Amino acid sequence: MFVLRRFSILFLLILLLQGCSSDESGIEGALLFNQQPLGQSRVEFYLKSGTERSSSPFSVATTDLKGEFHAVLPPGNYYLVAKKKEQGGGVNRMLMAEYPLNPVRVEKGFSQIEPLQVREVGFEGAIHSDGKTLAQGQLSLAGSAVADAFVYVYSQGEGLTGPAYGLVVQADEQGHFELALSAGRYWLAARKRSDGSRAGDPKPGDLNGEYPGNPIILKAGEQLKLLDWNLKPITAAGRDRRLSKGKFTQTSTWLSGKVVDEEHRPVTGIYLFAYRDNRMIGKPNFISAPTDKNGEFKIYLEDGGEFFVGARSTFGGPLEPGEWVGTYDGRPDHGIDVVPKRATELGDILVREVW
Amino acid sequence: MKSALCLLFLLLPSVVSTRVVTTTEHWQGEVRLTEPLLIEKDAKLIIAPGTQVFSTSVIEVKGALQARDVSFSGEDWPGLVLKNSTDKTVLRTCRIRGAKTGITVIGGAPLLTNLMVENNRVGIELRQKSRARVIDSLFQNNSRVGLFIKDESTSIVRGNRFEHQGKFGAYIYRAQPQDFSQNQFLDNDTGLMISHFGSNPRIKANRFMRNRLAIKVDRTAKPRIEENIFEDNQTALKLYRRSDPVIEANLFKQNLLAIHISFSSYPLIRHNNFIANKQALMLEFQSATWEKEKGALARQDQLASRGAFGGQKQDRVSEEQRRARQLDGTVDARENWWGGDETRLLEQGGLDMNPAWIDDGQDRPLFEEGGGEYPLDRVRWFPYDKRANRLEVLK
Repeated sequence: MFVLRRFSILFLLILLLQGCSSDESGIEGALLFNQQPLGQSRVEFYLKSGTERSSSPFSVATTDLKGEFHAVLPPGNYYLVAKKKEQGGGVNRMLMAEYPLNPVRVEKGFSQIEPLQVREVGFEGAIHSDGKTLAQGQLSLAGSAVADAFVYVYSQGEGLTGPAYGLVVQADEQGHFELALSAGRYWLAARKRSDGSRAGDPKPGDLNGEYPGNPIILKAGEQLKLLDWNLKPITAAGRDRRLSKGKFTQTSTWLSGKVVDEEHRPVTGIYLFAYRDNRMIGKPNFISAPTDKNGEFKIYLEDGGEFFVGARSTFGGPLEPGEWVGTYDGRPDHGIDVVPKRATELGDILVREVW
Repeated sequence: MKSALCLLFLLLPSVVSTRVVTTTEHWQGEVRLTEPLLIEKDAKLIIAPGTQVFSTSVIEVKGALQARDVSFSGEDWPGLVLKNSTDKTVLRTCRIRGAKTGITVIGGAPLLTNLMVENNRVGIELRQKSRARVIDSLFQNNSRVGLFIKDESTSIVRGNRFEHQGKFGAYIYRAQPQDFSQNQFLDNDTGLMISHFGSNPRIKANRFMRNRLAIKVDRTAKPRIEENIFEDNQTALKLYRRSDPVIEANLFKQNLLAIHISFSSYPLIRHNNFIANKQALMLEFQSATWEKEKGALARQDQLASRGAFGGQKQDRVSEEQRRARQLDGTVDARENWWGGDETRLLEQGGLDMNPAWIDDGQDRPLFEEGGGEYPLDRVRWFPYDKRANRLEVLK
């Protein structure tokens, strides 16, 4: 017993001495929000990537007033996630970012990471430029430059469609574009709609393409010249295939209803959006086809549960003057509980023009 | 031969089916379209004077369209869409009626002149950096907007008349027409709307008469409004939500209210003539103290709560771009001519005078907002012009 206790004390002493020695290792860096230091934020260190990690981080550090952190960690690979919840004073938001160059390898000493830009959750946009990191490229179609297409930058690699992009730029008349970014990992997609718009359901004949070198990884100050990027026309068959899959798949669970204006006239061409998230922001979970001439719609859902429903005349991008917009108002939070494998009738959804 | 065949085909009384024009075609007489028509990139459609086109479907022009004295109409039809048109696309003395959007111009630089654009939802919409020239045309009775200029379009808009539009005579949204002059806005609900950061056009030498509201400037737009005539409007100029235009050398005559300044808008008002307006300037919800304490937060809340259904961010304009640059509790309206009688009163009253034609913090020191009281800004009117300015527009 005495031997065991003496051994424990000795072990603790060794650990303490290790902690105080100059051989300590770990990760240090800084957090930024809108290019400003982000103090009093939590930096979590996980041993596994997002899809595999457990709920608790291995270790946690807090940033100082300069937004800097210094975490002592044993050698290994770590996945960094930064978080800050801000409440009060008219602000209520969650700031968050996963380090784009995860995992960070720790060996001897401290690994210095690139400044990490956090973003407001729900505002997937706002990829910031540090003023010195660029990616440049050229869009073409069968060898000819594609003018005025839009290039969308995403910070997540799943489903490079919809309004979750963080940055969008328009190529010039020679198809050239330049992305002002900061260090990180990004996924790129480009589209040119025949109606010239930046957002909306791509139609047959529109041009589309994901960057063949996705994801791109940039270090601070790097100026990356992208590979040749050829867009392809969307075919009617391809569009039908896309609409029959994913969030457009026809299922046995759906919401139906009719979109009307303030004078109760049916409104055609309106998309209905079903969100799992009650804030109804970012990419919707399910989208209807445009309302028909009677203003009627169906949103096919993968499963039952609680959904929040909105209606718009376009999808993606900010609201613009002249757009139609509305919500399901059967509940104040625009929510509806959906029973699986059943049709749920929402009744009339009122839309109004925004000017 | 091919052109001749097309002409014969179109002159048949039967319905024309879906068509793609790939070469040069000539139309005349009466043309009825029930399916979409596409003029391909290197193709040309030339429509003879007197032709009447009735359509239920879109007419999309990627190549060139030349039409003179032609009527385009339908019942709630989609309208003409001109894509990346060069100056070879010219519509002259045409009439466009009954469309959702009479003419949508996407990029390019077509010439649209002496048109009559009426009874559409939107008369003409200029998009995607269009450099279209819209000249000497009449817009009337369009239910929403006569001319909608957006997406950084740098068009020329000159010599047009906007009458009786349902909502807006013209609407400039994130765009900067290179020339917006010599237009007339008569009897509209709102003559001209200039909205959002990035809308900094020069609005010069236009005439605004009998509108409910002649010009509204909103959401950090910063136009330069100069040498215009505002006459007999209910409100000539309304500045709303951080809008800081330069307002210089205009004539404000016989309006119920010449300039309404609200919600942290800080214009520069110089060398204008104010004549016989019921009220020259009015401040409302306008306080440097409020702006310092709550302006940024209010805008942030507005962004978070706006959008389609929730927190869709509206734009990428930073608070740094939105914030007011000078907040000393005053609105700068020095060196203006306030009218003959008014100037005599100013000379008698001296600096301590509270001009009756200016409704500001001297009249209503405080206003309530969000449970708090804030001092209403004051107008700096001294020094004032002691004689009427010789305005170019009146020559």
